[in-house]
Amino acid sequence: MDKDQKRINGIARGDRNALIELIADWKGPIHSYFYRSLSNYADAEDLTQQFFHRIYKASGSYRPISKVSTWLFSIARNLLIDELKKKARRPQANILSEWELGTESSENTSELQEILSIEMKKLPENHKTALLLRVQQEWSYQEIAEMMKTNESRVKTWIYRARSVLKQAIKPQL
Amino acid sequence: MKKVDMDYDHEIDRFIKCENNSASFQLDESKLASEILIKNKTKTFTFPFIYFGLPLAACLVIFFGLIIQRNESDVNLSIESESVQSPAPSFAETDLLPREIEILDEWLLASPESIDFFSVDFDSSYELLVSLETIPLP
Repeated sequence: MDKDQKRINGIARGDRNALIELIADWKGPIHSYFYRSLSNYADAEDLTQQFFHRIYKASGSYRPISKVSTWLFSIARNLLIDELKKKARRPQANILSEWELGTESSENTSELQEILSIEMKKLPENHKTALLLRVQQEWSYQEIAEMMKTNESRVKTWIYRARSVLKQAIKPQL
Repeated sequence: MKKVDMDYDHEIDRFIKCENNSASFQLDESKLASEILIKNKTKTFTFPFIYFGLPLAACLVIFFGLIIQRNESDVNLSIESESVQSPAPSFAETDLLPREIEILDEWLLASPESIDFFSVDFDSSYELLVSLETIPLP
């Protein structure tokens, strides 16, 4: 049993330290995943906190069949999908977040990053998640396929398509 | 061409890994852990109320609602039946004396033509009189 499995078992028993350790180790990867998926820092922060609330609730139902990381990112992905659905129902909020993105980017990031943020936001959720898990989390195609309940060749296609779209967007800039 | 492609990939990877992101994510894990634990303790306390108290209250509301509705419908039915029965008063409730009823019966029996009693509105005294006038007296 690895340390994360022990932590999740501890969390299920109400162990505060196990929860603190899990948050400390996973807040970075989970926040990066949400941030690049939503292109909004504040939303990613909220969603990261919600994610740990959900982990606490779900810790009792965790079964060590798959890797902890697969289980954690499945929950993170479900949260992300819920959030994207909510945003789709609130078109005005989308316009606002794009405006927020623009102001944030002008202060903190380069023009290239701004273009990539906008293009990333337009990508289908499955393409985006596959690309993020591959590049950010350095998962194998097999792991991504397992988490996304699909096959490896489809994952490769999604990542290829996502990369192609992003490349086309930044070509005039480089 | 391949080098240019690698540059694109490199830029994309740098972006995805949030390498240029100057604002690092600040989250106090012990504070968040405390929040989560407190919130879930409060939820555990409210659990019996939500899962047992609310459905019980809903059942009681439905039960009493049905009783009230049933009582109201009973009252309505009795009012309706009273209003249906009222247009057909018996001769006992009329102001006619027994002797007058007998005379009326004799007149009606002596009539050579049969009178369609159902088409006559006996509530209206005028129609009763008109129908009686058409009967030839003995």
